[in-house]
This record gives sequence, structure tokens and C-alpha cells, in this order.
Amino acid sequence: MPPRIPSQAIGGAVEAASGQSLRAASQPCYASQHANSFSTSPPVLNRYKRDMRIWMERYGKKFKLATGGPNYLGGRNQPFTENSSFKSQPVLSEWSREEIWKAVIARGESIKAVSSKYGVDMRRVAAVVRLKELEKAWAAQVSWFRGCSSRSLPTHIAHAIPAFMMITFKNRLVLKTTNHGYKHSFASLSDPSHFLFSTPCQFFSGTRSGILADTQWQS
Amino acid sequence: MALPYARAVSSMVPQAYISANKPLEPINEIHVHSLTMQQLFLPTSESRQFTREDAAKAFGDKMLPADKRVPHPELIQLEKDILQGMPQKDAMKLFNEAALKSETTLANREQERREKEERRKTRVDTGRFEFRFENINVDDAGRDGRSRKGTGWRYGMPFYDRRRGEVKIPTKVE
Repeated sequence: MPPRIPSQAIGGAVEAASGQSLRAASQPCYASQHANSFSTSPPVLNRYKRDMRIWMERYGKKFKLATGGPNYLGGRNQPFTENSSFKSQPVLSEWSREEIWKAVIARGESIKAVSSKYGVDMRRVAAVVRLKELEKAWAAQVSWFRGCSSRSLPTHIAHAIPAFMMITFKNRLVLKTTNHGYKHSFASLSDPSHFLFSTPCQFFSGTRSGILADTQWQS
Repeated sequence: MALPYARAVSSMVPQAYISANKPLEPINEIHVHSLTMQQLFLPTSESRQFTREDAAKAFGDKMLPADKRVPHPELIQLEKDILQGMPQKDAMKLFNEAALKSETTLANREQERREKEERRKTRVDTGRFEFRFENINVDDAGRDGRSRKGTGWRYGMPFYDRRRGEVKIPTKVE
């Protein structure tokens, strides 16, 4: 989903606040995102939004991507910064669950014995075995799907979704708006001249090389 | 499909690894029974030891002592055996046998209960519906007719056929 805040405004605010320029990456696209799309003035970015933006730029970066381990806001075991009494409890790892399943099903040890050996609650052992069995049953059911390596499956889907979207939007014409398109412009034209698609482009861009609206269509 | 997501989610939370040397959590805890919440003043004789069995009996006739209410009563026996000088290997073997036996007993009892319940029922499968008939007894309602075991409409007793979410019409057509 594209950012709901028009990136031009953000660029300006963050630029003013942190001295960094985001303008290069900005893709202003008001009309499709704002209810008040008829307004030509850029939406005002309030203090909270600006602070949030600055936080995202400075501190939030390390939360953007997965680190392969817990990456909580409040530190090691604390997902909620305001609730210091809430500690994230460790869950049984995949390896441990597999070990428990092996002990109970493959080696035929009793649940009580496994529970006391590893110091895991009896109910937890029973639940692990039950869910592992279910997992293996499902895995056997979808074994035909193995051609696609299971680890990369979500990636496949993530790649597939834009492809579906392409199909959906294939026949719809989408015009990307440019900065210039939002200016009020009063241009005097001579009566006999034809007003073409290319005419406003020339006015907005100030040059003769404004891209025609016709050529901006994306099919 | 679910596995990669499970893996991705579990990589975001702290992990615990089991080991035979370090217990993961306390396993032999008992729920506090409401009978044991009362304060009792019980005169006992000084000449004999007051044990957990006596305490359980003082709280209620049917109360089991804490040693028997724990999830792993076999562990207590294991420790007793080791204290009495039995080699650890033998004690462990006894413990494993006892654990297996108690589990088998429990599973058998559950199986019997299910079979008994099944015997009470007669299933008639018409293809579209499976009718399950079971014998009922009028006296199940008890002397005052208000026992929870009674069947059907009884005066003054809630009958849950009109409870929210109770489905009485067929939910699919075959």
C-alpha cells in the first residue's frame, strides 16, 4: 500500500526537521489517495505525524526488517514499552518440539517420563505431540506441493500477488500525476488556437517538452 | 504453507530449548483445591506424626493427599527408592514402568468410558442424517424433578435448545 501521507509534504517536513532530502524519492499522487482531492494546497502535517516520521527515520529503521530473532521495541523481552510488567515468555523451539515428538512417538516413551526428563509440563508434552502429529498429517497431505520448496512459498505468493493485480488492472488506464498537475494556472490563449492535451503540459512544465497526457497512460 | 509462516513467527519470539539437565518449567504443581482454603483447628495426638494423609482427611473425606494429587506421583516414589539405596538405573527403570502403567490405565479407562457411552446409543445413518437414539430414564430427573441429568422440558429448569448459537435445523443439504 502506498503511504497515505503525500510524500511530497513529508519530504518537505522531514527535510525541514532533519535536513535530509526525501524529495528525490517522492512520488506525489494526491488524487487517488485523498477524499478532498479537489484541494490544491498540500495537506498540513501536524506535529505528531512529523514526530512519528522523524522517529521512523532515525530509530525505527532497525524494526523495519526481520533480524532473525526477537526485535522488540522495549528491549530484549519487552514488546510493550509502556507495560514493563509484560515480559515475552520463550516458546518451545521447533527443534525441542521435534525432540519431544520423537521421544513419545518414535521411541515410545511415556508422556510422564518425557515430561519429567526435560522438565516440560505434561499437558504441554501432550499438546506438542498432538499438534506435531497434525502437522505431519497435513504435510503428508500436501506432499504433492513439494515441487515448490516450502520455505520460499510465501515469497512465491508475495511475487504472485502483484501479478494478479496486474491482471486486474490491465484494462484500466492509470494516469500518474506530476507536481505540475496541481498548480492553478491562468494562461491566456489565443482564441483560434486549439486546446490540446499537450497545451497544459507545456504551461505546467514551462517548457515545450512537457510529456503529453496521452503518453502517460499506463496500460 | 502454514509451516513457513510458523517458522517466520517463531523466529520473532524468544525460543526455549529443552535439555535433560535443565528443566524448562515446574512440572509437579497442584491446583489449590477450594477445600484446602479453609482455616482448620484440628486437635491431634502428639504421640504420632501428622502426615499429609491426615491433613487431606482433615480437609475433606474424599480429599487426596498432595503426594497423590501431583501430576507425577511416580517421581516421589523414584526419590524414595534412591534414598533407600536403590541404584539410580534400577529406580529409573521402575519409574518408567510405573509412568507407562499409569498412563495406560488412564487411556484404557477413557476408552472404556467412550465404549460404554457408545453402547448406550443406537446410530441410524440415513445418508442425510445420523440419528442417535439413547435410552433415557424418567427417574433421571430425580426426586424433585430438577436434576441436571434429567432429559427434556422440566418445569423451572433451563432447556438449552433456544440458547444463542444452538443449531437445530440441518446446516447442510446432501
